[in-house]
Amino acid sequence: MRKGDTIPGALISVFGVIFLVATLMDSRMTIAPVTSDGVPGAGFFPFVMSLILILLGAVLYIKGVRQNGSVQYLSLTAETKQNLKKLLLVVVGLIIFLTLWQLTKLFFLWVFVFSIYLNMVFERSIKFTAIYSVSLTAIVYLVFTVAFSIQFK
Amino acid sequence: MTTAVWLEAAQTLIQPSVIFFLFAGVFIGTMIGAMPGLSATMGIAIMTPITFWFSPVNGFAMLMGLWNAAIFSGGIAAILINTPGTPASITQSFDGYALYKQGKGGLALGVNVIFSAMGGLISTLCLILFAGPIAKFTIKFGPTEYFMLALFGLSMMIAVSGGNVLKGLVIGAMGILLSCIGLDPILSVKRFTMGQTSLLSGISFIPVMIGMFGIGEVLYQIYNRNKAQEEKEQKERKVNLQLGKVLPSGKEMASITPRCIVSALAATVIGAIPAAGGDIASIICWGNAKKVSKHPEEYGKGSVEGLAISSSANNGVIGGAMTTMMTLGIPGDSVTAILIGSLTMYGMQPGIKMFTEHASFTAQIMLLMLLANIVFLVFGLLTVKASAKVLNVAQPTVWAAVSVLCVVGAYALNNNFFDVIVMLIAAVLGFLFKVYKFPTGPFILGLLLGGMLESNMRRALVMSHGSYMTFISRPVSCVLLVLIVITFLSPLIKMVVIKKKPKASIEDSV
Repeated sequence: MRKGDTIPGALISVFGVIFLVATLMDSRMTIAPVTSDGVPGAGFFPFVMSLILILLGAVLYIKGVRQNGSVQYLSLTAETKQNLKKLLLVVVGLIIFLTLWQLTKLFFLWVFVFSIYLNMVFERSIKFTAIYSVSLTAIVYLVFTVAFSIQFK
Repeated sequence: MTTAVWLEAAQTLIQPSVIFFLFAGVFIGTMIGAMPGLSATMGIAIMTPITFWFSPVNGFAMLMGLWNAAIFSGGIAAILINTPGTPASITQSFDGYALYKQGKGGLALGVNVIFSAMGGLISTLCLILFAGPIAKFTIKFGPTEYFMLALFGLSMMIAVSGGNVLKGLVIGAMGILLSCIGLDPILSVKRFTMGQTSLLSGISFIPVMIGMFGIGEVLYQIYNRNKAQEEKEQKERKVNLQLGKVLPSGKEMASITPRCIVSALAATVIGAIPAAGGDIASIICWGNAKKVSKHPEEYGKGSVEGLAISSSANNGVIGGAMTTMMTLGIPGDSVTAILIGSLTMYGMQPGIKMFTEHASFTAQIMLLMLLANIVFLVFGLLTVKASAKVLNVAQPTVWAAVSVLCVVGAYALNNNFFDVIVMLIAAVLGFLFKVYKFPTGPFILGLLLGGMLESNMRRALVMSHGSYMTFISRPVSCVLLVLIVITFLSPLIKMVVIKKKPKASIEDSV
């Protein structure tokens, strides 16, 4: 697998292509002026910007190829691998927390559980985890729901 | 702005609630700034949704207090553990930590407070003096000038993209493209909304900021965690060297102050340039002060003067950044970008209207900035020795709280779960940008200024009946166009010059 800027360069070009195709396929997003005053259509700006993005992504890709692996962003040491594992646990935990909140509408329960989960991922003591999670949930409840009357639905 | 406007603004600020929120902001800002890894931007991004539930003056009292205090207290970590609390305090670690090692930690912390406040006060005075005339000048601006101005702001941010102009361009273009999502500003055609009503008004800017500078930053810190370094810092915190006296002598003050005034003025000008934040200002000011100092050999080895210069420079940029933001609507840095979002939420738009329709509120903001500096000066001096305790908070403690507060904050903005999803996507993007060394500034600016760019460009074309010559024929627009071309070409010119320069002469210059 090539390293450096090749992957981000390719992804950015793909991102530009998606917007370009979406612009061209939508009949309301015209590029040429639709009125006699010469003002470009709704698709003009996205069309130009997506073309620029595709071009710049390609330049970045070529630059990455020419660097020939001399730049490595994700050099995985043992510690980084461990960190990456924790990072993924945090992201997955966050997605599960948000999903459960939306499914059950029991926001504060899941804030409490999510806080316990995060402290477990970060290897904190049980006593600290318990006090911290109760305090954090209480603060969020008091500040946002009691003081500002925000209903978390 | 008339004297009556200033008096009315001052009267509003005497209210106990305003003073309370200002103190709360200073307290929170001091805590956030002192903790390495928590930046002023992160603090402002997390606190902004909360301030929407206050009146505008109370909300801005908290934000101004937080911002000014966070920048000053970034120096606390720089001085005590050689790790800048915020990027702006990078040069404070050069001399501050050396002073701490010499047993003059108290003096270093005292100098940090005093000269940060001085820098902040001078730059706020500049804001008060120059913002009005600059705003008046913009009365003549039409869509052509605003288009060029937005493009100029973007080009400046790309030019200072940490030496990587290509990546800055890529990420800026990406931000502009994403700003096209929602209703077209001229014809109200739905664009890239995928049938989602939440996307009709475009991508909400503040959830993006919360995601990128909140959870995105937390993810990057988790990924980049170095336990050996953490243990080393823990040991340094336990060394507990004597802090000694806090206040500099009258003689020291007299010799340092004139240089610090110059440094604060220079930092104000630098701060007014989009993207040139406190880190750039303090490096430039510290470097130049070293060149003209009577004792350049002391710089980096515990120079009180060097520390004072850095301190005045990093808070000095705030007034400059606010000037650009309030008069032109172009954010000077990431904090002012969020403040534009705040003003918009309160129904205000930066620019000339801030000095006409909302003159009283504009005056309140400026006076709040002055007050914030005075409050953190007193608070900082009273808590110099206690502030070291903030550093004992473990990073995972902060990460968990930030993660929860980002979710809560993003939702609380509009009571809309869609904003939480936007925040989460922005967090992952922000993390990837950091890992692959893409500057986040141009993305934020692109997203913020994309609408301004497009709507003004098309309005200008309507007025000129489709003639693109309008961008060249109008004087202000033409000058800005020349500046944009120079800004974009300067890295290429620099590259050509370096290539042509004989190797020996490069070595000599180094």
